[in-house]
Amino acid sequence: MSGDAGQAAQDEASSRTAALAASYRRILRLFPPRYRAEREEEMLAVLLDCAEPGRTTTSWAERLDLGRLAAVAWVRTALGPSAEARRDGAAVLAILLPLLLLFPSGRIALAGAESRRYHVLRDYLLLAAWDWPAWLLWTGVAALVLVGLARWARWPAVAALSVYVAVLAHQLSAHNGTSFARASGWLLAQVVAAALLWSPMRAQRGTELVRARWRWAIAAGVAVLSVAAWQGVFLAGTVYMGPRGHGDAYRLAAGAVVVAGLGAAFVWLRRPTGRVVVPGVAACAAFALAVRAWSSQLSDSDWRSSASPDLHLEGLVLVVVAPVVALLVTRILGELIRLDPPPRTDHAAASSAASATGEG
Amino acid sequence: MVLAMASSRLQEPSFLILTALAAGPQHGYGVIKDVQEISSGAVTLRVGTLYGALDRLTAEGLVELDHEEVVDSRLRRYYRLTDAGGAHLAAEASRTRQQANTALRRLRESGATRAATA
Repeated sequence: MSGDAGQAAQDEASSRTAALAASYRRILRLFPPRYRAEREEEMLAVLLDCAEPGRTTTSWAERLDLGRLAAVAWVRTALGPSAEARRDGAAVLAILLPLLLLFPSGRIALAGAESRRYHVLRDYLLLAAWDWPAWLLWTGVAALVLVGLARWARWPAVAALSVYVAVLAHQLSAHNGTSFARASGWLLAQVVAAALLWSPMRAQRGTELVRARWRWAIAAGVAVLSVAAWQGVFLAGTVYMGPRGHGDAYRLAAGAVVVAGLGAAFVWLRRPTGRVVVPGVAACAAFALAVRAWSSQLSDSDWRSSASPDLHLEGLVLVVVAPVVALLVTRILGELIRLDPPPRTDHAAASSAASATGEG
Repeated sequence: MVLAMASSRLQEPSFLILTALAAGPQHGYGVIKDVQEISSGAVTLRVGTLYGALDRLTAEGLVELDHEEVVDSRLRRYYRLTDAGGAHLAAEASRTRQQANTALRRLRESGATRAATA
């Protein structure tokens, strides 16, 4: 009889513990997937050890405490990939970001071709002059990083940045504030790339990105592809396309590139290096778009008249907030779709070994 | 980076956790009980506070995983102090002792002054 009572009490206690464990698990679902995979079982054990006997639900204090830790874990997840992934991603960003200057270079060349009936093409070439030297210098930087000479790559990077800043400063002094604002995104991309190259940790990493036997081939490939791509855009605008209607073809091609880029970014987000590179590019792109939107709010008179500077503060706030939001959203998205499994713990290994033995 | 982070001052929960681990590797629940004992019941760590501090201390290289075991189907992960963690705790304890000594000495001096003027 007493044995039955003892058994009943034991059953009651274990059902209460199971209910409490389920309650804790519901709160632990608030944590990032990776954090849960690493810590959930361990934390659950400690929570159950700490709980007073007989409890079946969590307290408000525990919910707040764990909720706060979950929020911190999400912020850390959004901001802090592993050191190795950061180094790889930074080196890729240092190569990738400045090469995006191909876009404004080609676009301005195309604009010159589009309007050749009405304007002298030479004027457009001069207008694009600040992009080309910078872009060519950055192509050299990319080649140097890829062959493992990241330290040497710093100097052409500084030269490219200086050229770009000098011409932009000239634009600003000529009261061409809108041009300055529209070029700010490209300026940011170069500043980020140069900063990454000047960090000793990042610069060293470039030598490990590509296997030695492939470095020269890839570097030569980047250089040839960059020059050829620019020539391709330029020739497409000046020779093969007529003055009317070819803007649609250009927009169609640009749209295809954007869609392909978004698809590639989504796939790459699932890898550690991609989770650094894609958010970095997304933040720069968001900044560029926000500045562009902000600049469109500004009339010429805003820049030229010091008497009534109407800066459109909501646009200025967007310039600050948009890159941060883009960075966080892509980082969290990357965390949700990541491919690499969490580190395998002894506990998980023991569990799978036990189940394998049971099956055997 | 680790040195830069480790040079920062410890908050009370982190100090107490490092003190608990100074005696040897312990699991989470053991650390909570030990901290309660060290602080004479004044500090009861919540689980979120414990793991927030452990995440931070691990990232700073002051604490590391020792081993793990399963007891009654529950996972217990043991943590230990690293060499950097031991050095940092020693420096922090020394600083705290110095400040406490100064406070006590000044209290004694001001007490003597008050007694002399009374």
